[in-house]
Amino acid sequence: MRRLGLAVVFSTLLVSATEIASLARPDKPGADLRGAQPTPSVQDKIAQSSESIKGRVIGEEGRPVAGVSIMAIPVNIASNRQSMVTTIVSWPVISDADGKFELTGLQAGAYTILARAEGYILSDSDSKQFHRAGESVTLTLVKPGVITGKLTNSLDNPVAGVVVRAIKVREADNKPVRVREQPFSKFANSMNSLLGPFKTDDRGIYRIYGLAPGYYQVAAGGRSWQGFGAYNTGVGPYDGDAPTYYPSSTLPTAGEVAVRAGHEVANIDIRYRDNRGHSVSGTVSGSKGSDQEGISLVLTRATSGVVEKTIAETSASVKEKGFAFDALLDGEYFVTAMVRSGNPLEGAEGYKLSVSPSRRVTVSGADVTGVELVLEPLASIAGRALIEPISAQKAECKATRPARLGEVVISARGEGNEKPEDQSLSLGPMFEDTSPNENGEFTVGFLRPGVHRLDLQLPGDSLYIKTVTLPPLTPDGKPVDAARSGVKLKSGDKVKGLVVTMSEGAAGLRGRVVTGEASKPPTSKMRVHLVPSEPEATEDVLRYVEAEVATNRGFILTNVAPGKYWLIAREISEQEQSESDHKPLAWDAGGRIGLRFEGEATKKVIQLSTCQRVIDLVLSYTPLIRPAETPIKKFAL
Amino acid sequence: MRSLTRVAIALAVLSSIQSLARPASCAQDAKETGTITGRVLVDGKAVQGMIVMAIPLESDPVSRGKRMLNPSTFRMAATDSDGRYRLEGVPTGKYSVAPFAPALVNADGASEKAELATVSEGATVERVDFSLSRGGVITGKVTDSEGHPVIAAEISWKPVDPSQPRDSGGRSDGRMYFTDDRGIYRIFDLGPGRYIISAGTSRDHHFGMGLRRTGKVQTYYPGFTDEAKAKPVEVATGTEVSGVDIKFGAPDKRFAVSGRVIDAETRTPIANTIVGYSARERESGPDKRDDGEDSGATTTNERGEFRFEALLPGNYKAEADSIGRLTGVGAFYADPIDFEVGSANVDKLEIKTHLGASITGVVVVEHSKGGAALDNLASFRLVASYTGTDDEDDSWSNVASGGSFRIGGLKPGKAKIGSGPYAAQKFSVLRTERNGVEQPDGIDIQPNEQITGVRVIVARANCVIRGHVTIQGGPLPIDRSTRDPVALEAVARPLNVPRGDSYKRVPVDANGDFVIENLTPGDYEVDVAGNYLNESFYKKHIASTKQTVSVAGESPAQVALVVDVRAKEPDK
Repeated sequence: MRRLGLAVVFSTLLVSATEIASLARPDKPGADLRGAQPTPSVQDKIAQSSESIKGRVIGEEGRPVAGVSIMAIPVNIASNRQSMVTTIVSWPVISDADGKFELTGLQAGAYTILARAEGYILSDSDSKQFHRAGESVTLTLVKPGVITGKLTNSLDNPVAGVVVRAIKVREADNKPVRVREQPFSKFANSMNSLLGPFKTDDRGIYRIYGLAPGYYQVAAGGRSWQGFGAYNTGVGPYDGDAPTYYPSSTLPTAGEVAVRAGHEVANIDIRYRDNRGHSVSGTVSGSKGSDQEGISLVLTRATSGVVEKTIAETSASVKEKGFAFDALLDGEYFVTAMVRSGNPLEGAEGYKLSVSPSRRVTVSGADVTGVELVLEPLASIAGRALIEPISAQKAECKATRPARLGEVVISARGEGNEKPEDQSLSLGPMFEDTSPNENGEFTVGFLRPGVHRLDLQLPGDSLYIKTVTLPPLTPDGKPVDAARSGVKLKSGDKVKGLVVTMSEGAAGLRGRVVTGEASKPPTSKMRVHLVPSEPEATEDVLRYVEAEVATNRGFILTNVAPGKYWLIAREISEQEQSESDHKPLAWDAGGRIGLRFEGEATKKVIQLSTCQRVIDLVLSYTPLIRPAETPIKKFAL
Repeated sequence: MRSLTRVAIALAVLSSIQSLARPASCAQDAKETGTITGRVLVDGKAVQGMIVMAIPLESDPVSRGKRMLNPSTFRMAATDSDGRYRLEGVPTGKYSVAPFAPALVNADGASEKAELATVSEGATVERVDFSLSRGGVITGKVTDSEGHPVIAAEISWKPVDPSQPRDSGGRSDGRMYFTDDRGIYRIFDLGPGRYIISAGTSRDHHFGMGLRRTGKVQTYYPGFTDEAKAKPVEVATGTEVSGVDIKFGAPDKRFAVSGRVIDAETRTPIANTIVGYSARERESGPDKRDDGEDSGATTTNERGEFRFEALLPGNYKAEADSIGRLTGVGAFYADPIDFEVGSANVDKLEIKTHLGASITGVVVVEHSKGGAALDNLASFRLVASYTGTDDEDDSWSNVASGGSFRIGGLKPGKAKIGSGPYAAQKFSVLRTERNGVEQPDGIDIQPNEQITGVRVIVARANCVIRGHVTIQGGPLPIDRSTRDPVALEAVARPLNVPRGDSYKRVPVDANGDFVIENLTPGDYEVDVAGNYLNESFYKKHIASTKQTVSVAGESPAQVALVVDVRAKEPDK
C-alpha cells in the first residue's frame, strides 16, 4: 500500500523522533484538558501574520541562477518549537528562470537563508547575514574551487583508493578559519559528506571539488573521524596512519594551497610517507546522563583552531574505556569533550549540553596519556527586551519602518579573546543565536563559563540600544550596567532578569576618510569610532560605536544613540587584523580611555540628533604620533 | 521513505548521535596468535610494496559494524620484492585476507579479492596467494540535455552476460562511482567483458533540512532511459575505453499547483497548517517514478493559501493537517482531495476542514497503585487509529504525568486507542473503557463530539520470548558482501493488537539463540530471517518456520524455529 505524502511526513517524524512528541506538549497538561470545546491549536494561533522573503539568486557577472533550492531557517529555531517543526516539514522553494524566489508563510522574525545549487556555493557574506521577513534579498552564488593532484608512494608508484582531504586553515581574507558558520552549512555547501570522501583513482589522481575560497592544507591518509562518525569512509590500510600533508610533510612544514572561486589548482602532488603518529588518550568524567547518549570529543590545533579530529562515541563506551585519538602528528592541540542529553528539538529547555574545559596537549614524539576531561553543564542568560517608542514625531523619523522585537538577533560573546581554547569548540549558531518572543523574552543558552557580553544585531537602522541591565545586587540598589561589566557565568549558571532597552530614533552617519596632503595615506586597514564626548557618558559602553572602513575609504555607522560624539579614525594593527572575532575596543576600560584620549586630541565633535542621517561626511585622517601597532590598551593606568 | 531519510538527516544534523547501538564486546584480547603468508602476483609479476590486510570476521552484526570503525583490529603487511607477504602475530580466528588494490581485479575478473583464512594457535596458514590483473577502465562525461556537465551523478554498471561476476554500485568498501565537477566519471576495476553503463538514480540525495537534490532518471549510455536500447561497452583487463559519454534527456515540464485551505462551513482560511501532496498509486512500468518527486509538503500563509512550484504531470492527492495532531492539540481534520496535473498549472484547489471531535480521559496502569508507574507514563504516547479503513489518519496524544490525555481533531468513525510505535515504549494498551464499559471494537466518534470519561488501561511491557533456531540442510550461506555467514534476525509480530505496536527485532547470535524483550502480554508470531548477497551478487532471502506464542507475566515464553537452507527463493 502506498502511503500518502502527509502520512509519510507525519509518521516518519514520529518514528524517527519519539522526542518530537513532546514538541507541543502543554506546559501544564492538565490545564489544556479542561476546555471541552475544541480551540484552535497553539500553532494555528501563532500564525496571525505570515510574511515572505522575496529574492533573487545571481551567479557570476550577475546572471540569474535557476533551480536553486532555498530555505529560510529561523534564528529562534532552537527556542521555538513551532519554528522547529515548521522548518523540518517545509520543502525548499526553487528559484525560477529569472533566479527569483519567494519564501512564504514566514512569521515576523530574523532568518538565515540556505541556498543550494549544483556546482555553486553561497558566497561567504550572504551565508552570514540575517534576513527579516518582509525583506527582499539578493543571494550571490559563487563557483567553488578545485584542488587536484597525484598521490605516489616511496617507489614512485601511484597509490589508488586513498582518501585525500582538503583542510581549510585560513579564510580567503587571510583571517583564521571562522568557527561560526551558517547553520547546516556543512550540508548546504558541500556534497562531500554524503557522497563519501574523495579518493585517488587507479592513476593515483584525486580531485577535490566544491571548495569555498580560502587557504587549504591537503592531507592523504588518516581519518578526520573516529568512532561512529567514521562509517562512510570504508576500510583501508591508510586509515590508521597519520596523514601525509602536501607535498610530503608533517604539520609544521605542510604546504598551503590558495583556492579562489571557480579556479582549479592542479599538480598538488603528494608523496605518501607512512606517518605513524602518536595517540592522545584519557578519560571523561562528570556526565550524569544515560549511557546511550552520544559523546563528542574534538581535537583542535592550538594555534589556528582548525579541527584535526573528532571522536563520536557512546557515553557508555567512553566511561568504560576512556578515549584515544590515534595517529596524531607532533603539535599543540586542545581536546574538548561534549555530551548532549535530552531532545535537541526542544531547544534550550529540553536539550542539555555539557562541555569540558579544553585541555592543552603537546604531542612530541610520544603518546600522551591521562588527559582528564571533566564535563560541566553550560550556562544561560535569560531576560527581556523592549523597544521604547519616541514621543517627538519628527519628520525624519517617519521614513523608516518600525522595527519589531522578534527581528532582533541576540547572542552572547565570550570576552576571553586571548584564550584560544574558548574558540576551540563551536556549538553551532543554531544554539548561539536567538531572538525575543512576542513578549520580548529570550534565553541565550549553551554558554561556556566566563564573562559574556550580549551581542545584538538590530533590524534596520531605526533602533539603538539604550541600556543592558541586570537586577540590582541589593534590594534598594541600582540595576547593574551589564553592557559595561558583562555577565560573569560559572558552569551551570542560569542568569535571569537581564533587561535590554532599545529605542526608536537612532541616528546614522555615512562618510569617507581622506588623508591630508602632508601625511602619507595609511597602508593598513582602518576603523572609525564614535566616542561620546559628554563626561557623564564615559562609562556608557553602548554609546561607543565603531565600523571598519571599506577599501574605497567609505564607512557607515548606524544604530547610534543621539548625542555628542568625537569622530575618530584609527589604523588597525597587524595583530587586530589577524583576529577572527574582533571585540569592540570600548568593552575594555583601557580601550575607552584610549579612545577618549584620541577624541580629545583630534577635537572633531559631531552632534547627532534623533533620527538624524548624516551623509557624505568627510573625515580627514592625521595619524597620531604613536606607532600604529601599539595596542591601545597601553593607555590604561 | 524519502521523507524518512530527510527527517533522519535533519535529526542527524541536530543531534549527530543520540542513541547508538549497544557497545560491542570485542574478542580481541585473545593472546594466542598465528601467521598468514602468501604471495601476490600482478599480471604474473611480483609487485613490491603492495599492502595485504587481514580483517577479522565477525558473525555478530554489531561487532562487524564496530570492526569497520576500528582499523586497529586489522593486520597488515607489505609484499617484498618477490611479491611475498607475511602477517605475524595474528590473533586466532577467522579472517578475510585481501591485498588492498582498488584498481586490480582477480583472475575471475571480479574486483572482490578476499580469501578466507582460519588462524589457529602457533600455526602458519600458507599460500594465501593472489593472482591479479589491472582492471579495465571505462571513462566518460555525463551532460544534461543542454550539454552542461552533471555533477555528482551516480554511475552504475552491470555485465551484459548475467553469469559474469557482477559488482553492484554500493560495495563492501563503501565505494561508489560519481561524476566529478566536470561531469567526468572513471570506473577502474572492471573484469574483461561487455558492460551496460548508466547514470542517474532512482534515489534522491538529501542534504539535511530539506535541501535535497533531485534524482535524475536513470539513463543508459549513450542516452536512453530504456535499458533495452543501452549500447554495451566492451573492455579488457588493463585497457581503457574513454568517451563513454552519457546525455540525459530534456527534463519533463513541470507545473505549479496552488489553492487554499478553508473551514468547510464558515469558509474562513486556515493559516499555518501543513499541506502535503502525493502521487496516487500508478501502474509500474517506464512511467513509474520513484525519484522523490511524487510528494511534498508546505504550510499555508495567513490567507490559508498554499503553492507547490514544480509538479510533473500525473494524478495526485492533497491533504491538510495541523501539526497539533502529533500531540493531541489538533482542532480539525480535512477532507483529502484528488487533482490532476496535465499540461498547465493547477490553481484554486480547495481543501476543506471540519472541526474535529475529541477524546479526553485518563490512562491507568493495570494492577498498579499509581506513584512511580504513573511517572513513567510521562513518556508514553497514545495513538487513535480508525478501524475498517486503510487511511493512516492516526492521531496522537501525549500523556500528562498524572495519566490524563486528550486526542483532538478527530474525524467521525470508529477508532481504537493503542500505544505509540516505539521500541522504547514501556507500556502497551490492554483495553479501553468508555464510562466504565469496555470498547473492544473501538470508540464510536460522531461529528464534532467531545467524548469524555475514557479510561485506557495499559500494562507494563516486561514479557520476554526466548528462542532458538536450528539450521537444517547444511551450513548457512555466506553473504558475499561481508564474507560472513548470513546475519539472521528474529522478529516478533503482535497479533490482535491495535495498529501502532511495532514489530520487535533482535539479532540471532552465533549459537542460534535470541531473546526478545519489552513485550506486553499477548500473542505473537515469531520467525527468523536474513538477507544476503550470493556469490553472483544477487539479493537472496532466507527465512525460518513461523511460530505463534502467548506471553504473560515474567517467565519467558520459548520458541523453537527451523531454517532449511535447501528451501531456496528465486533470484532477485
